[in-house]
Amino acid sequence: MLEIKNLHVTVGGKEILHGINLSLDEGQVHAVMGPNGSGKSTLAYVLAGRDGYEVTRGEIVFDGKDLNAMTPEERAHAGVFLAFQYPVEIPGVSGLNFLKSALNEVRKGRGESELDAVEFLKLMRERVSELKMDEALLKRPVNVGFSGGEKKRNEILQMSLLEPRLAVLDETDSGLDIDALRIVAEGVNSLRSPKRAMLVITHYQRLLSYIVPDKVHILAGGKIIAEGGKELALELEEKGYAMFGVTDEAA
Amino acid sequence: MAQATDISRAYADQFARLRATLPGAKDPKLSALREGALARFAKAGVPTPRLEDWKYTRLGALLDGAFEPSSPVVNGIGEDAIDALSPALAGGPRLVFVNGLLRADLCCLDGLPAGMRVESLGAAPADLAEALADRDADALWSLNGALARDGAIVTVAKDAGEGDPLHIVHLARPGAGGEASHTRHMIRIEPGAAATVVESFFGPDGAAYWSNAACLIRVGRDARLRHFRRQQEGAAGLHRTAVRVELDAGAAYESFGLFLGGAIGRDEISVRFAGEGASCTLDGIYLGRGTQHLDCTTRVFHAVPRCTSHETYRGVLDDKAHGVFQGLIRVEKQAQKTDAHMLSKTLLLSDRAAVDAKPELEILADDVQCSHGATTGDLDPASLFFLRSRGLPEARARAMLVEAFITQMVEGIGPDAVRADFTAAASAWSAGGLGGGMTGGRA
Amino acid sequence: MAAMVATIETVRELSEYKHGFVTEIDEERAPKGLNEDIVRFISAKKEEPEWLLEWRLKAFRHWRDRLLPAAEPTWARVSFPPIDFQDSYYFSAPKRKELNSLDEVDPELLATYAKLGIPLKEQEVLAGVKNIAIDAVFDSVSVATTFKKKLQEMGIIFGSFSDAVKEHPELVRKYLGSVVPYTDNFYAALNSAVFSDGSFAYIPPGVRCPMELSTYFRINASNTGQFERTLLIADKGAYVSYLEGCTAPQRDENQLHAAVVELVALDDAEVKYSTVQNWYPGDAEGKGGIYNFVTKRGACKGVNSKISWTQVETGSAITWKYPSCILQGDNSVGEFYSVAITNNHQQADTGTKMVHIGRNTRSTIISKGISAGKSQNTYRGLVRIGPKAEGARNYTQCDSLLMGDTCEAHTTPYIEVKNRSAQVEHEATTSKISEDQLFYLRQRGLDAEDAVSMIVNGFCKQVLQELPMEFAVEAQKLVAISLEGSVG
Repeated sequence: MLEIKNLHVTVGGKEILHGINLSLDEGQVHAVMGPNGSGKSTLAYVLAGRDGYEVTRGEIVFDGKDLNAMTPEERAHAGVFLAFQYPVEIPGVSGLNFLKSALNEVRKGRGESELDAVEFLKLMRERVSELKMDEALLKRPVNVGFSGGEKKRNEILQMSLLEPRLAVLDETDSGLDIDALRIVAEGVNSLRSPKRAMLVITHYQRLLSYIVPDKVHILAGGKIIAEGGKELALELEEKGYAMFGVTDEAA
Repeated sequence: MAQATDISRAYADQFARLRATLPGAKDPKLSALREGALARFAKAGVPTPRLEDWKYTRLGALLDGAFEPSSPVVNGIGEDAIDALSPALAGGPRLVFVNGLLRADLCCLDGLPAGMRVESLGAAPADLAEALADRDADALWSLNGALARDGAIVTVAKDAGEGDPLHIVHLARPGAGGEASHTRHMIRIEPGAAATVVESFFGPDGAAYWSNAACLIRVGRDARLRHFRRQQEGAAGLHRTAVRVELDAGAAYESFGLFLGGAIGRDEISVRFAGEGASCTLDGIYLGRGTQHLDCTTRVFHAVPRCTSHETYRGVLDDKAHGVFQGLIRVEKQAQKTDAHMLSKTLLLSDRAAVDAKPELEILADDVQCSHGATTGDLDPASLFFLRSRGLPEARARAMLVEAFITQMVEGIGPDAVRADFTAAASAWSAGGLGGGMTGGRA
Repeated sequence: MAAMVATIETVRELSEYKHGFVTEIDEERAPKGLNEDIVRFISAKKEEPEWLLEWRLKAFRHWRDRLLPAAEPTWARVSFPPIDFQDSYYFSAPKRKELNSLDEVDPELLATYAKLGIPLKEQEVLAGVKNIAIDAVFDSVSVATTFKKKLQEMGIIFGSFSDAVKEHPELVRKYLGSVVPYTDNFYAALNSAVFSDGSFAYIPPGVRCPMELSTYFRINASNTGQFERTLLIADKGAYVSYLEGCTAPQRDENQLHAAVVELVALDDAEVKYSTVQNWYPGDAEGKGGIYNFVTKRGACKGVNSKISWTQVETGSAITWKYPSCILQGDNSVGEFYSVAITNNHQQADTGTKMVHIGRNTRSTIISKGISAGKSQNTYRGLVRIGPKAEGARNYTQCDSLLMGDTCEAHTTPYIEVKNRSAQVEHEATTSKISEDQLFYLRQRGLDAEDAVSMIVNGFCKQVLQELPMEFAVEAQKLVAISLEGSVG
């Protein structure tokens, strides 16, 4: 479903990713682990099409299409969802309004009919209760005044509503205490499906105890330096990034 | 009010009388410069509240007639008297101007920091044209340029380290009254150097006089100047200082003003960013009582990218005092990544005190962070209640909160000697009585 | 929320000024130019009483002798070539007979208003969500007023200014010029001399007006100035919400609109005045468009009275407008909520004055300025606390949003405080739409224009939510449309 081939990415004139290869099939969950500064967030942004993240070589093929030729919203319509490490605050725009607009845009993009207000509210309520969220949060402006946990849960809610083909979770565990982490992870697990793939980007192994990956890629210095099964994450947890001869400023 | 043309003519007569004695009189180019300045003054006249810039400040006696040039005072003032005005700064390097003329016998240049050179306006012919610059000037700056008889030219050599503060003392000794001094200073900090300059203005209560000071400042690449002004003119004094600052790339300029003297005082500061990555801090506090009118006007021009300006002004106004804060931040189209903030807070302590504030933003670039805030009011009732509930009488509680409001500003002053000097001056003001009981005038 | 979705759809449908059509209609004009005879002509046309003609003439002479020699005021941050006041028509009216009912309104006019989305037929209005009584003003003349009878039963007077002069001269004479005297400023003096019509409303003591009163202004004729005059009086304990909308055809020349609005609120009365100003702004190169030089002021004469201005200013080539509150009555309240959007070559210098005279008077100012294209957008506001305004409070917030580096945003507040117990707080910020916000919304599937529209509507929300429901939807659409083409 997703095929990343020899991907080189430059940000602000500086090459950050130096030839990434990664393929991900339907139904699979892969983890990308790496120390700070390894290029993890760059990978997430380049998949979602952020301005300023320039692909200089290589390609990203998603469901047979060249992802790099698409705008961020076209990628969203095609089923790419990025759960942001730092969800953005948008003052004055109510959460409900935002969710409904986004959902209907994505549905239109998929050739589905738009939901009216009643259908939308029904669907939204279902998903909110599944994620054990407080519905009142959605009446507030998008992410404004939310705690770190609330923001992350809001990301997962958006994912459950937009039903992407590919979900990229960028450090979804950062800033969460253990209870919030468990709730978010449960939300993610409930969205695992044979039709959906996930790329879980994380620094630490702890998230992977909850979201168990099919495969683990270790990213360091803009390259994938090791790959393996879920046990690779455990080994990394034990020995640290030093086992790959990599220093980690944050460790 | 006299006819503006009569006033202009009177100043033109003064110029005709004085011109042969003014620094640079023999140089035709400088003469032309002075004549041009006089002509610009004559055209504009003494500013009136009809000008947007002077909307809130009426220059009283200056609109009634021309002020005569002040007379030289050659004796009768001792070094002790100067020391007593600013004990915390005594002993350090200082220049003393009495009635706008340098008194070499009262100066002390022993502790002048290495790399700092000081000359009087008359002794620096090579720098006169630069010091008397009259571009984009207002009428009072031009009048100063036409009539300036003396001033200091301070140059700090490249990469010179910061030494003790240089104290420039201005002392008025008016005769019968109605006299003016027009000092013109220029301070140049060469690349990589650092310096601190303190300007103080003093005068006796009694006769009206006018102190019209102008100061041109240029801070070179990666250089830094800390500039302090203490305005404590006599009760009938009219005071106007205009400071014009230009900052090269990476330069830093920090200004702090304490304004508590004079019948009418206006401190005007304009900062122009000429190179990227420079910063300025403009802070000030004005303390008024009696019928004083104190005006702080600032203008910051962001003409290049990535510069930072921060301004904080506070005012405390008692009795019938009138305070004015005008602040303009202008960000030109090319000045992207500007970070400019301005804050003005005023406390009114009496039912007859008043304040006018005009914090202005003119923004032509889109990628900027700019803000301004202004608050005016009485002391915070919750704080007052808290102190009273702990047993303090109301007057005491109020005084304590006012002092705290002032102290919060003054305690941020960097150089120890300057902080001590300004703290003492502010405390003396507070000790003068708060809460509408005073009728003006100070020691 | 529904409104937002509608917004996005509307943006797709509309990309140009949609009210730019001209109606072919029989009109009657005064000769070109301005002199005492023209003033007399207008007054005679309207069959006015002598006192009103005298008042007009005094205003005209003041304008001609005292104000015109000094030329138009220049303190606002707007620039335009000098106006030749002799090169314009000061009276233009659709020809008509006396109307006995709405059915007699010229069908062309009804069609015009239908095109604008304003139904003048009561049954059509009734089919809507809510009742709105509408006074339609076409080239300075009131052409139709709906629901007049229903309102009359409650003692509410609502209709054209001319009718009010005939039917309630005592009210008009008492209050005309009481808030905005003809000496007030250049354009107010001009308006006082030549105003042709406008709306008048009087709400009697204790009456809460059951429906929104609305005036819809339309400039149609070319080479004419529009000088309407609105006077609204809320007697003791009365309440009224009033809406005003405006459109004009696309013409290459600039047309002057110099209106005066006076509001009076007596003890315990409340007036809510909302404007959606969508005069033709000129084309993308800055050709044509309306000069909107308007004086709007409300006097909170009574204790506990309240006047609230809400404006959404998206149109006009130049806007020069400061809806103000004179807070005379103790405990009176003034509010100003404003969204001003400028695009292309538009210039706006707008804001408010809050003059606190009485004790415990309170005012709130929320101003949101959005500049795009090559436009200039200035907030200019005055907060004045008088010496007797014990306990007065003001809170002001001015936010500017810049879209691109060819536009300008200015904030010029004047804060004058003469009472120590007053508390005045002013905050202003300038920012742009952040890349993060845009990307976040696009990642969720919104295209760039929709994303901008959503962010800008969020930026304006504090103001838009003050509008009556019917206007809020229109305003949100306008916000989106006004910024068309400004997303780079």
